[in-house]
Amino acid sequence: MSLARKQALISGSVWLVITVIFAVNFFSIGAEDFASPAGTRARGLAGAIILPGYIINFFILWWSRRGRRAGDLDERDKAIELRASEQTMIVILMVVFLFGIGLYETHLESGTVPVGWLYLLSYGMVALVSLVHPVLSLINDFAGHADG
Amino acid sequence: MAKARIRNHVRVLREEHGLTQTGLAGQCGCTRQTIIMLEQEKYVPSLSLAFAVARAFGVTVEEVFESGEN
Repeated sequence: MSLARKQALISGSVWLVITVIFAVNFFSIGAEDFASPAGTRARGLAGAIILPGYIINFFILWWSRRGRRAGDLDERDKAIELRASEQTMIVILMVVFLFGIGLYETHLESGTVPVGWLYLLSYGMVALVSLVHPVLSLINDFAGHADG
Repeated sequence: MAKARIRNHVRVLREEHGLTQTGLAGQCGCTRQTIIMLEQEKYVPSLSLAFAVARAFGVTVEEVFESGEN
């Protein structure tokens, strides 16, 4: 297995777990209560998930490179990363758009949006970007959708 | 104008020269996965990699890669 593929699998797995925990934590209390004093513990947990996620992901990626020589990412790997980055940007733009439009339509009559949704949007996109990019890297890798 | 499909003889040449995919990848400065994708014609290499592959076989680039219309 190439280093790029291994790292994409590691990152994708780590961020899948983090995203699921984050989502469960958020929806277990709901957007309306998330920003209230009742949601203090949930907000703390959400913040406690994202930062360690980056640290764990970085450590695992560093550990996976042990004994590897420089240049293990060749031109095809870089082309895949570039293509995955472009696709990730498009996916995230679509998600943010649909999320925003969904909030607008849902709360149009009330005129207000529970601020908890904004918390989900911001931190959720951080987790989603970190998840989507390695997944798209793997898809492009296996499908051979990258040229030098 | 139809998009040209790049075909190659990497696998045939590699077997003729008794090279493994890993060995060829090492000579060309790329990963074994890239060689696999090359042989399956799922990856079109850059010029530099194409020249490196040809150099590894001791032949010209045209003897390794050829263009065909879709």
